[in-house]
Amino acid sequence: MLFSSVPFIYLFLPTVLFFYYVVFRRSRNLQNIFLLAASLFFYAWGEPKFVLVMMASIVINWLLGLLVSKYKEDKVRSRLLIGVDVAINLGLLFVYKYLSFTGSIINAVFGLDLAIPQIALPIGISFFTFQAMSYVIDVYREKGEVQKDIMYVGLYISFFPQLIAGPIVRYETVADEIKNRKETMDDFFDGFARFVVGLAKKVLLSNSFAILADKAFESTELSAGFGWLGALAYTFQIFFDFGGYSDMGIGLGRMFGFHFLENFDYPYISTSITEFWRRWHMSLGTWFRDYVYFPLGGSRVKKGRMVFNLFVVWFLTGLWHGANFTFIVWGLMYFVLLVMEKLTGFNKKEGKVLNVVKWLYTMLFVILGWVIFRAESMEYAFYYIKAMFGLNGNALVDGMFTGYLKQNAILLLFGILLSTPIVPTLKKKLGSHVLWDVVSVVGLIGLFILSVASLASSSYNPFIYFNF
Amino acid sequence: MKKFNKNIIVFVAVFLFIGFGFTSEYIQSLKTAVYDLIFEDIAGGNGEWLSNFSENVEQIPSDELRYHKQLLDVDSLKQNVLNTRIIVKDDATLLKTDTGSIIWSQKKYLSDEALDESIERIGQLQNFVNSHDGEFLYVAAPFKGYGLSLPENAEDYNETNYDRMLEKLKNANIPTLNLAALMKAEGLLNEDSYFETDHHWKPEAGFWATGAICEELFERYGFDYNRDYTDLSNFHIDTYKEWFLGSLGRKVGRYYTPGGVEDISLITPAFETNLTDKQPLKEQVKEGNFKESVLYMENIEGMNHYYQNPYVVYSGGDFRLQIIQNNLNTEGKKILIVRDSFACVVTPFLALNASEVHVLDVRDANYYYGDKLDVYEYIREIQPDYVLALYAGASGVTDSDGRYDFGDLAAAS
Repeated sequence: MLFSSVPFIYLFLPTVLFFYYVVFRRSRNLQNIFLLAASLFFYAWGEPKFVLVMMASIVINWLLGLLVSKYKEDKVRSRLLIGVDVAINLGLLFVYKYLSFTGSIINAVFGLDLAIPQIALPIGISFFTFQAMSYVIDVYREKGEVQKDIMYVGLYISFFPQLIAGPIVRYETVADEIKNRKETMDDFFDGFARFVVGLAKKVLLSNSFAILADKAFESTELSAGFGWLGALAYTFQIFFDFGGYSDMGIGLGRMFGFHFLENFDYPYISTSITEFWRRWHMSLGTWFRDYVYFPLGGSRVKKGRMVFNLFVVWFLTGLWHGANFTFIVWGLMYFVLLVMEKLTGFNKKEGKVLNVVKWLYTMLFVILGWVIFRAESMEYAFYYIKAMFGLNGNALVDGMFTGYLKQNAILLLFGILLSTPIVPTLKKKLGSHVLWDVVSVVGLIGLFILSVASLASSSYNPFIYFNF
Repeated sequence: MKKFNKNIIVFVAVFLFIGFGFTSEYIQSLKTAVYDLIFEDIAGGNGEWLSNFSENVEQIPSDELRYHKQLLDVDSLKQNVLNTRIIVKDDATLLKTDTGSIIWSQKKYLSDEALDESIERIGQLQNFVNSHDGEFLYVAAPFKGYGLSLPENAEDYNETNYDRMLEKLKNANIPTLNLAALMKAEGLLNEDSYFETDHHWKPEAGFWATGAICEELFERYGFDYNRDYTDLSNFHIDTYKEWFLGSLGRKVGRYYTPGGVEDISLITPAFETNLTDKQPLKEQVKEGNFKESVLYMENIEGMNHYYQNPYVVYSGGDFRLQIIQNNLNTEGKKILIVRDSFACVVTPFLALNASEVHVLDVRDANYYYGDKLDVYEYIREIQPDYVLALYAGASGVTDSDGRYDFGDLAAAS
């Protein structure tokens, strides 16, 4: 079930709120059981069979969490249990996400003809396996109390606001809130407002950019201008899609008293790749930092080892996004840039003109990175990038470029403006004025109606992070 | 004192809005889905109960929400403000011309093989008609979009498919009336001949086309017709102002085009008429003057932009079989026309110059009453003087709307 859908907005959310806040209001236990049931139902709605995979993941990680806690004084045993937990979780991910990819590589490299099973990918498996591992590891690190009641582990792993598209919630973030959260009116209503903002980003912005991006990326006679326009459109599409979904997840979490960490912090204002990855998909970046990079030694090692550690992290980051060489190359592109920045300190240099140059450099590689990320194959990625620089013999501009530019000028303007912190800046300056309150209330209601209008008119509604 | 949280207003307003959206139809659809879940799937031990339930709920159309049409209008206003000229829907891509008219994008380039198949079918029909002492004419109407100014980034093969089909018809020596060429020559191939919000041509264009058909039949086959009956000055024109939201406008909302809802003309003869309109499959007969017989006034009376289609005041719509008898011209010619909906605004006027017009619609769709008839069998049965095939645009045989499924030629021969 998508958040941006009529069944969710009109049926699921009101029903869940009613049962949580009215029917079960007197019992935290019943509220949590209900949320768990609702979350499993939410997942099963789109994936009836794969809900069993998630339930198996809950059971296994709960058991291993208990064992890790029991043997926490025995370092050897507890580390072994962590190893088993990681192996099972990653094994699950491997089978569903990477088995076919691996099989095709083996066939290609060794000239074999092994039968490659085509296994359907459970929605959100990359998110919930990482969350599951986070639980057991955080128990081991004593950053959260072990849950003897499987229901709490189940709720942590499967909670519907962040289940299928993140943010990846660390166990330590919500460990206490699972049992001891305090729902407040401000959290509830502000959370709802956040949900509306996220819905508008996804439906009104991302879906519109998607039409333009898809057109460019299916083109076989791509002009340079249309190539850049398409790449820019995808840059906005993925930000407003993923960022919008994170807003919705964070907002929904707040409505139930949970406080998830922010996932995006205006990444497109970054003046270095280092800064970009501190602003983009922060929950994933910090997960890899804390569970992979630091355990490998981080940067407190010799330079060569640090480079190796970065290589591992960025190879895995790319691979996490999908079973395709495009994602691996995308991740390794960032590895190269980050190493360059770390070794030269380029990202730390300041200056008015230099900052502009740094921003241009950052956005150039971010956009090119998205082209690789979006392409179906490395071959197409090369074709597309060559077209962007006029190297494929096609026109520099054509009717597709001028037509789509004219028809999307206002949308592009919104995309640029809303990629910057213009709204929080205005809020800081004007937030105490009554007019601001009026405008924001009317604006939010208007955005909701516009979003529902867009959904009701059966407009294009893709979701690109769905299969991660 | 704690500051009032303004987002309470947002929440209340939104949930009132959501609650107001539920209609009895929507609730009934939900009840049906829940009933099926509990009493059919779960009670029946169906392992797919959840996916069946989710599918049933997802399929409840959002147009069962109370304000669905108003939501479409809001969306159309947004699209207009943003200067969106290409709208992608689940079932169609719509384009807005330079003058603001909406057209249905013809995104498929028809291969030569596909067109050749169509030409072969039409040729077979022509030969069959000729072998039964009749004369044949293929009437090619330009689908809306032909010759119009489209966005430079639009993908539309309407014009090229049509032109290539006409070339093939010519090469196959099939008698053809190329209305696009004729309209262009007379300065009629522009947005004024078509509705802004619908994919059809206007009644005035259909009326003009009727005259062109009569003249073509006259020149080719000596068809004797009364030119007064193809002269618009002999007709009353009642204009229903801001009455019509066409098929494409109903997909995108009322405010997408500059003009919004548009006018539609009711053209009726200023001279005496007496016709009988029959729909044999429905056992329905209408008799009387032009308005009483071939016009279906219930489609234009009482303005309702989203739930009414005034275009089909002419002929009533698409039917498997319709027979129009001209009671004042019993010695005239008998015409069979195999057609699409562009003929709605042609056949009533054509009937004024014939003794009988038999209308067959063999296209595939689930809204027809009855099965499609075998055109060959029908020709054998009624022995028409003229057989016309009137279709807008170009189409292949496979992967098309079934327009060239004329029947079992072998059985009829």
